[in-house]
Amino acid sequence: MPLFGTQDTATARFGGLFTRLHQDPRFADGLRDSGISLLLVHTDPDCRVYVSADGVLTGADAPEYATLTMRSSCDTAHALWVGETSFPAAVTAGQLTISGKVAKVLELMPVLAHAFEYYPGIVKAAEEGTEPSVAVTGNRRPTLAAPTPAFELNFHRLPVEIEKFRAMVRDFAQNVVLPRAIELDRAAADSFDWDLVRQGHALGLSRVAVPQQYGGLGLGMLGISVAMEELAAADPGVALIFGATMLGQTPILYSGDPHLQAQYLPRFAGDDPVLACNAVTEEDAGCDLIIPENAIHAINVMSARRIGDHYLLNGRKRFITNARFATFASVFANLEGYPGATGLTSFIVDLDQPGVTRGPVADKMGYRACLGSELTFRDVEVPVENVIGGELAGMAINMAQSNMARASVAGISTGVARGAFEKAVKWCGERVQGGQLLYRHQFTAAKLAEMASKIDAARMLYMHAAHKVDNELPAPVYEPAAAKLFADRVAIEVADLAVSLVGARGYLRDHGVEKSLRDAYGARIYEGTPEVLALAVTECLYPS
Amino acid sequence: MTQATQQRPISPSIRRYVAAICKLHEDLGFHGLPDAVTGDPLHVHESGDGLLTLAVRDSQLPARYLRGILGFRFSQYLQLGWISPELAHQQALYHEPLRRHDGVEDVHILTLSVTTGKILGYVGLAGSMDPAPLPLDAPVRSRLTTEIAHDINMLAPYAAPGWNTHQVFEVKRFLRDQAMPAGPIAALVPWHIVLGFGRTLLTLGGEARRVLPVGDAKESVAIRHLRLMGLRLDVVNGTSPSLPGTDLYWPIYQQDELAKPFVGRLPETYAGDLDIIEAYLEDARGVAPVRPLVATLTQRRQEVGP
Repeated sequence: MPLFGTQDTATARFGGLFTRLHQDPRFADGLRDSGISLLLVHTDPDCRVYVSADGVLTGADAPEYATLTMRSSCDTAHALWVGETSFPAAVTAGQLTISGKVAKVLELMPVLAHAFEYYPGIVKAAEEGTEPSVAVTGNRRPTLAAPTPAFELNFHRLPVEIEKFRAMVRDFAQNVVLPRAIELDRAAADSFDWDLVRQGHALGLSRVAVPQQYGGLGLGMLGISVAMEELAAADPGVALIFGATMLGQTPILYSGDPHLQAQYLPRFAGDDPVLACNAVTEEDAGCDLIIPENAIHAINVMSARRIGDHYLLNGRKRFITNARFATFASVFANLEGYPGATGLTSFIVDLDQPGVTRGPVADKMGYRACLGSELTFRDVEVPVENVIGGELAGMAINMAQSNMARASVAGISTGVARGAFEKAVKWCGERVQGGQLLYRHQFTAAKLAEMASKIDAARMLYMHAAHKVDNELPAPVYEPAAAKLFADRVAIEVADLAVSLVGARGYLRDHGVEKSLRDAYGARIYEGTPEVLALAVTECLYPS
Repeated sequence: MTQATQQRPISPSIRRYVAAICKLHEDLGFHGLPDAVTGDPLHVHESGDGLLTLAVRDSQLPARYLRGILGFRFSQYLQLGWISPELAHQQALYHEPLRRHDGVEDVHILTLSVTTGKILGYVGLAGSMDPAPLPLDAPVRSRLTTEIAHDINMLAPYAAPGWNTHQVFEVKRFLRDQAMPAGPIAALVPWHIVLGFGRTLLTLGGEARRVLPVGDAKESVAIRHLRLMGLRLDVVNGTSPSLPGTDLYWPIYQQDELAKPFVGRLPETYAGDLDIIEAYLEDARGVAPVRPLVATLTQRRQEVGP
């Protein structure tokens, strides 16, 4: 039974909320400063509210377009404003969708948080029959002020700020990272090049997706993904140092919680490099932590026990990139009393505190520039404010996080393929066999053509996925999974072909192309194996 | 710099938030800030004591550095009890709100550790919010925050030909990093800030020294120091400053010793006073005791005024 009987009562409630909110300069100035207009489209009963810095419009007066459009039932909207659900929980449950640039959503959240102050008063006024009238204070010709639909991706011309950033990262990757790649690959497993990280941090690589209001670049997943390709073309291990940091930030971004964002995101805005990590993987539970249907079968999962206004975390995470140096981690633990991983909950955990032990570094086959290690938690205290999306939302948060991040990993795989391809192209353009350059031999030409076209296809898929991630909440499942599935395979195939084309020299360690082949297998494991990705893709083909 | 006297119990979650924000700013270093300044700073001074002092306008700084500076101020104010933790938490602030207006840009004077890049000292000069310069007695001019808190008109008495609101700068509180351990550097930081403050005022005022620093401060602390350094101050007595409970800064006026409004003028001797301070800082290099400098300035006050 819906809470709101008629359109008029729903419009009075939500239109009234935003009319009141608009009188608060913090809200109106926030909209003006960010250039955001918001269209709320509620159902059961139908209700439309448009709000911009200029004012509030409801019903048929509300325009068709806004920079952001939030769609939900009226009941969900009510539950949000009274705090019965949270934005990430509603989004992950499919009760709320937001279209428009996700970067704008992140800008909007602190501004929108003021609604929590006013909604109880609006509800009380409604109960007492004294609710304020909805003031239509906006432009009566809203189409003049209405923004155009979001930027459409052009594969040949990226947004200026992203193109500029890509050029800067490419210069860094080719002139700083690439000359060190062989040395980094041969160094001891626990060797770490802080100088490289410092230089990357200075470029902004650890704050690409952090919104500008928190000192970041605000370039979203598209910005990260193209940066990952550029770095991975030189060394994917270096790319993953920054990629894993972004993964640690993702739940905070996704939470929409301005308090967590204020505490954690500006850490990346200083001049000293700061790393974060994402701690999901465990020795026994493995993929059971990322497939909801398997959650019940997960064993020995890290536990969380609520004590007062804290949780105590106990357990061990494995193969965690950046765990050795990260200042905080996004950690997934199972709430006590729930079998398997059915009580999975997402936490943000400061790692420089009692009870956290950073374990030994794994000696990996590839990606040796970044360090993967264990994290052990023994009665580690985490305040309740550091839960993302509420208790039991961990599986949904984890999936949402993966959906957001997979486009960037597809960027890494595309970069690995490109790095190997560039070496092969160089060789085939210099090596003479049978009186002519290698690339003039038809068999070689076929291989090079196949490599080139697959790399381009992988790039288009990841850009398309990243663009969708930047413009939809919840993040789409299909596009990022398909992009990663394809790009991971392309990396292996292209690296394999490159090794075969370069021949004996390619088999030698000092050439670098055999490193590409070893690196290529890495992305097939993290952020979704081919099997996990295939399930994600096929679930979209057969929606329930 | 005394703490607010009314210590109210706050919830654990707010306390944790405030602690986290203070820790955040304690950890941030800004090595790259000096090189990132656009154009020439209003003042720059580096002596051999490992400290670098800069005075820059808002627009000379990349946004993340500006937020970092406002964050330093914010965390220091929180630690001193000058900002409401409840309102800071409610608004999820991690730095003081950016002042957006079409008037005169704010100026930030900060002392950085060359080694760590951390901000160790700060004072701000807030520019007028009037888009165009207005006479000091113009009824429509924007009011200064000090005027609002003390409910007085501070500028009208100074109205004179050639003077306008764009020559007025509101002095924000002098700050020294609360986390800085006691020692020679901690003792030197305020002198670097005072030197930067004075030099900046002279630059802003030009040859005619036409600049009016105004603000409020405690008579036994900042007012005494500013006078010692050669600034001529008119202090307004008898006000009862307060801010509404909805104002982020309301606790700043809940203290034992109340700040008094002042209007400052730059006497001809001011540059000479600053030369003395600068010479001391050049010679001191972090080791010379400050007492002789204070004695010199005190004697100079007796000899040349103001």
